[in-house]
Amino acid sequence: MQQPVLSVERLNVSVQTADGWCPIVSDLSIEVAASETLCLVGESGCGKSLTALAIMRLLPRGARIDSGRILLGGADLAALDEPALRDRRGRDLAMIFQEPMTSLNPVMTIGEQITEGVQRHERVSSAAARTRALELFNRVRIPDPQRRLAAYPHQLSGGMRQRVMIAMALACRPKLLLADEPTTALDVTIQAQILEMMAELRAEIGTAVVFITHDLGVVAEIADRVAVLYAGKIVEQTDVVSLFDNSCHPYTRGLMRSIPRLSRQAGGAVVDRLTEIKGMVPAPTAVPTGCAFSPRCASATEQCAVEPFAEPLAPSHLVACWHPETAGLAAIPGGAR
Amino acid sequence: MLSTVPVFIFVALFVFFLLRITPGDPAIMIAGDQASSAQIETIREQLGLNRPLLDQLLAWAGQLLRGDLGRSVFSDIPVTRLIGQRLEPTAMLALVAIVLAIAIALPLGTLAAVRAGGVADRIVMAFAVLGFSSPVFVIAFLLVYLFALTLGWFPTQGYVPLSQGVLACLHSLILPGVALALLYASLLARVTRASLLEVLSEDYIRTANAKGLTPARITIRHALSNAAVPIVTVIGIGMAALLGGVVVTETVFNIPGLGRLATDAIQRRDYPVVQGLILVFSSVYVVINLLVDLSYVLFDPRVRY
Ligand SMILES: Nc1ncnc2c1ncn2[C@@H]1O[C@H](COP(=O)(O)OP(=O)(O)OP(=O)(O)O)[C@@H](O)[C@H]1O
Ligand code: SF4
Ligand SMILES: [Mg+2]
Repeated sequence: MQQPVLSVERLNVSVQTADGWCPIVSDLSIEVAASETLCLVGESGCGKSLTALAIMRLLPRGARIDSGRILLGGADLAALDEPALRDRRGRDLAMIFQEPMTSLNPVMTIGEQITEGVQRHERVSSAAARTRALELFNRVRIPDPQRRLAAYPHQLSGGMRQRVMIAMALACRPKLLLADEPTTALDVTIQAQILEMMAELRAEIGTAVVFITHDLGVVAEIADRVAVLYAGKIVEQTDVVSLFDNSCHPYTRGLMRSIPRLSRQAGGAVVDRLTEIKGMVPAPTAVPTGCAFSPRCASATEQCAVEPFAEPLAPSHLVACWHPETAGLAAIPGGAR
Repeated sequence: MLSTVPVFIFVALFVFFLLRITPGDPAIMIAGDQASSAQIETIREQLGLNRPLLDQLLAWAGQLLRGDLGRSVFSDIPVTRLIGQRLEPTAMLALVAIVLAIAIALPLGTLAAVRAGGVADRIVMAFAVLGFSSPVFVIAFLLVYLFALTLGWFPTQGYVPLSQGVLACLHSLILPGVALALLYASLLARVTRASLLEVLSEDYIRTANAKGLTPARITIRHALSNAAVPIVTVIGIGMAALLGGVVVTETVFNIPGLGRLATDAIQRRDYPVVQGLILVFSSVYVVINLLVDLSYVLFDPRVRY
């Protein structure tokens, strides 16, 4: 892999609960290169959003970074103070949020919401900032951009608002874009359009993208590499092809099996939901010791009472499991243990 | 907004019947216990109380439409002229109080919200509770004692009319203005803090932070503009509440305004004047509410009339 744009090293995030600080993200390490998309996948509540917010250093009250480094462009974001972070947010790194309906200010025109970011980071006239906003609106394919600049968020549909959010995030051509389920709230056709457009823009600007989703269909469409999160830990990290062809962690394989598949029958397509992963995601306060997945894992043994560490099964294919299902890897020399 | 007209009609009817449905003979009530029967009869004549109720009502409505509020029983001067003479001091006092209250409350309420839970927040909120729970006359006496009697910076009482210079007029209104403003400022600071706190936890504030905007821009442009509707509403309600405080303040500081006119009129049972004042105060109230409603258009693009 080329020199990473973002490199997160052993990030630990915890949140405040009734019984004190409870770890949510544990020893998370990821790297993303320019023009590369890393997908963070995992079930609801596994800590995807908190990871992205921690990288932005925008954790809500009641959540904090305990340790770890967040290296972006030579600086450790985790060690910067607020004024230094404000100079970087929006310029070096930007984020698209999960909620397109509430993430725009209802009483400001969307034009102002875009230009204010440009003018914060670049010495440009307001006319130049407007021109930039128009360009961006064209890029994200917002029809009638001139008129839309003067519109308020409530006058736009969800899909349009998310396009505005994307334009806003890319306004200063950031090195890193964090996209937190940007299409989950949208319907499928619009989702496909937006994913395609994001892929184009990523290639054009050369932005490194961390894309959060729990939809493996989206992963297949947009990811270069994938990190699978379970209870705040990365259990498997690999490129998108080997994830779908030979995932090794029992949890990842469970996720794969639970993708609804179309089984063709004479009468037409029937959605056939295969095996769900049995059991429930543990609450953050009740994560089992050892392998967090063990209560739900069919391959679990006594050994799994000790926490497995992430090991490369193949070059750049990390798995944290004592008994990885390596059937598909046997052919790779030095792949299986 | 359309309710403005019915509200006016309702107030006018209320004022009309207030006198007529009170138990006992209104003429005796106005004239007082010691009045001779001749005096009582004069008052009855003057107010038309000896005519049928419907006649009285139509006459009253006709008067109102002509802008005639009758004559004072006490001095026989037209009520509109009496009110006109006293309007300036009250309007100036209310204006000074409102401007002071906004100037005190908006920055402090904002500071408290931005530093929620911190020392500044606690100090501001403690003062807000104090200001809210201290009667106007207590604040007034303290202010007079400190700034007029001890330091001698301001006069202890009296009003300098605008015609003698704007600065002199404002100077005479500083102490009464502050006394009146504190209660109102306490209310406004609390509302500013509460609305701002709510707005500051919204998703779009996080978006603004994600753009790297400065705290000043986020607070003023993004947060305050969203908190404007509740704040302006309270400014409007507060103006109405202010009218009550005006009466007390004018009495304490001996300002010849509508409040004093009202106290005098009530003491003298000068019923036409009291009626006129109720009408004027309610009109002001209705107009302020109307303006507040209309102002929402300025603050929230989602509001359309
Ligand atoms: N401000 C907070 N205070 C306390 N707990 C929090 C806070 N924010 C998140 N959490 C908890 O942290 C855990 C991870 O939350 P996070 O939002 O990162 O999940 P997620 O993976 O993004 O889920 P989803 O797919 O539903 O968006 C959850 O259990 C959540 O309840
Ligand atoms: S470590 Fe053990 S329990 Fe955990 S996933 Fe692997 S086999 Fe299952
Ligand atoms: Mg999330």
